[in-house]
Amino acid sequence: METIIKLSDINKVYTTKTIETQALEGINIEVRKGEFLSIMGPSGCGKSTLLNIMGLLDRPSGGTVEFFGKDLTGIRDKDLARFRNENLGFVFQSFHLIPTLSVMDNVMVPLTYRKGSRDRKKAVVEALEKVGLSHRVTHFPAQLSGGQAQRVAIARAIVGNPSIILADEPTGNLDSRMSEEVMQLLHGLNREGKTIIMVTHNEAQARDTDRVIHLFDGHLVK
Amino acid sequence: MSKIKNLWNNRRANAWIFVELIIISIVTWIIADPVAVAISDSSMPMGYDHDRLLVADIVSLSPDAPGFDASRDSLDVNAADVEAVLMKLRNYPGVESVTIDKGFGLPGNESNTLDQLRSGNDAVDSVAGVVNVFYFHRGTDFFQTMGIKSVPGTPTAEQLSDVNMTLGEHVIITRQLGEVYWPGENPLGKKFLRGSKGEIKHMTVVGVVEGIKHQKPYRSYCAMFYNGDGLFDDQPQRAFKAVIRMKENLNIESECEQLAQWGVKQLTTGNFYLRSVETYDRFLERTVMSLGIPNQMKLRYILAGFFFVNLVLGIVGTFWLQTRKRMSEIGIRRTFGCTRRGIVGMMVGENILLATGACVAGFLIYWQYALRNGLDEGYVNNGHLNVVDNWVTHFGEHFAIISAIVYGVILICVIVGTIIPAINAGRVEIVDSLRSKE
Repeated sequence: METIIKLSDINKVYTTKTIETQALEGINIEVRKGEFLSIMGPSGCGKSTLLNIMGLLDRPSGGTVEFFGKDLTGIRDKDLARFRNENLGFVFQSFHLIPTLSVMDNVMVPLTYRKGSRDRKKAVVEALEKVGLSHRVTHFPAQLSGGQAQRVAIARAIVGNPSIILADEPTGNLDSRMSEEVMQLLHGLNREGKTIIMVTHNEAQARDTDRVIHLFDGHLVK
Repeated sequence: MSKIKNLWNNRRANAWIFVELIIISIVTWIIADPVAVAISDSSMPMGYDHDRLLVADIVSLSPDAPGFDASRDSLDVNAADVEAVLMKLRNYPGVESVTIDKGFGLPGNESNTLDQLRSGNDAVDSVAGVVNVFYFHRGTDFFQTMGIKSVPGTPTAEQLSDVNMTLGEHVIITRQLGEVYWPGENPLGKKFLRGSKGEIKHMTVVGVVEGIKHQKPYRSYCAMFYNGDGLFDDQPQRAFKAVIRMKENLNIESECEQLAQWGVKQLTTGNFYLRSVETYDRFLERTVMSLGIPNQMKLRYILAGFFFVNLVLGIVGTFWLQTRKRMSEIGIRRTFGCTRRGIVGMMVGENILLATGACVAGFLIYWQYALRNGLDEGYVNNGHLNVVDNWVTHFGEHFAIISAIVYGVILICVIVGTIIPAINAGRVEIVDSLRSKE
């Protein structure tokens, strides 16, 4: 299958005035189209940092990040923003919904930054139908349960029809029943052809994915 | 549309800022109006050519001073000495013409006289108003020396300086004063009415000149000129001013210094000596100081400046805090495709909308106040006639211009106050913005 993400010799160093912390070192990963990839490892091993670099939310200190065969390291903020908007969807552990916006407006956020995106409301309703929350469009995040909030976040991630979804511990703040619902949604999306990269602590969830990679102290161990 | 929606969604936080901006817009209006009017009035031309003028202050030794020559204190000899001083000045190199002020003759003088007039034969319906009066002396080149221009179709400045006038019977007026009493008509030959019932006198207009302002901060161009011959001649002259028009292309400051040095010895005539010489511009600055207006204006400018600095700091602080509170939102928006520039545009746009709404509300409130109490009139008082037809005197135009100024000032403050924290917020890495707990 076609490689859509290629990370080569990725390093990430966090520098303060007094110390340098090596978060990632010599990471080489290839992600194939349609793959459901899990990233596992103990807390502080660099999982989220790696996901942020794969999601172009953070820049590596060294190495290259290629999407669809094109090196995106060092491209302009404007081009990076457009690439994220068109190709990537994000799901976070703490949902990251904007508390002052309704469900409708939260899900609409990615479409706001897309040129020529017409009939936004229709796309939002379709995304919400997919996660079973089309009846909650006027609600605000504070009025939702954790599971509902994460489903709204998933709807926001898919509303722009991106090919890749990055999920950072999407069930970390949910109980088992809600976690199950969210995982079903992600698997369903994967079946529809989306490439999914998920950071998780849950071995059972990881086992259900196509491939698991393990990180330890910033290194790829398996 | 999305900006209005964002404002509405954040209405709890924005309500306070909105109210604050309404109050700021009203207070800014109150401070900006008199400052703008004062600047506008002060920048209106004086109406005569004062750039090439010098004023020499000539005084006599007092009768009890050592060196006082009592033999030169008779009216005839004293008058001859005055004339001799003027002649010396006229013959000084670079001098074009010289006129004399024995009292109340100069626009901008510390003390001026006022007169109250009516027009026509019946006094019932005509305008009564206070007008500045200047006394000139026939044959002293007053109008051409002062650079006061006559209105086309009326006697020239040269003719007016020599015109045969009798105090109380003839008068030269400014065009603007004529417009008050005889709108649309040539005032030449028209009559003013002076005095009260039983003692009514008529005063004929024998000349019309372009309007002059008495003091720089004033707006009125209404003035009239009486012939002061004989008015100050019943006693020996103890002091007078000589106004000197220098020729073109001379450095007026250095000419003033040279004339002062020369005049110390050369102008000493009889009991007269030169006390000081200054440029007419300096004379105007000094005399207007005695009215206290510059201090009032300075106070207004200082207040306005102080308010402006506080306004900027207040707005910057408010929007800085507001932006910090939205760090997480900024991170989310950037994650899903918003650029740094987009963040700045969103924040600035929202706050411009907020400020615009607040200004509209504030202006409407001030409008109600202004309808009842009027707008700032500048330093037009004491019932001085004023026919200046500019933005200050038209309510609608006045309100629109000051509102535009206030809106501009607030908009600048809001943009400055928003753009800096918004740019800083945009510079924060997305992952750090997302971690923000605010």
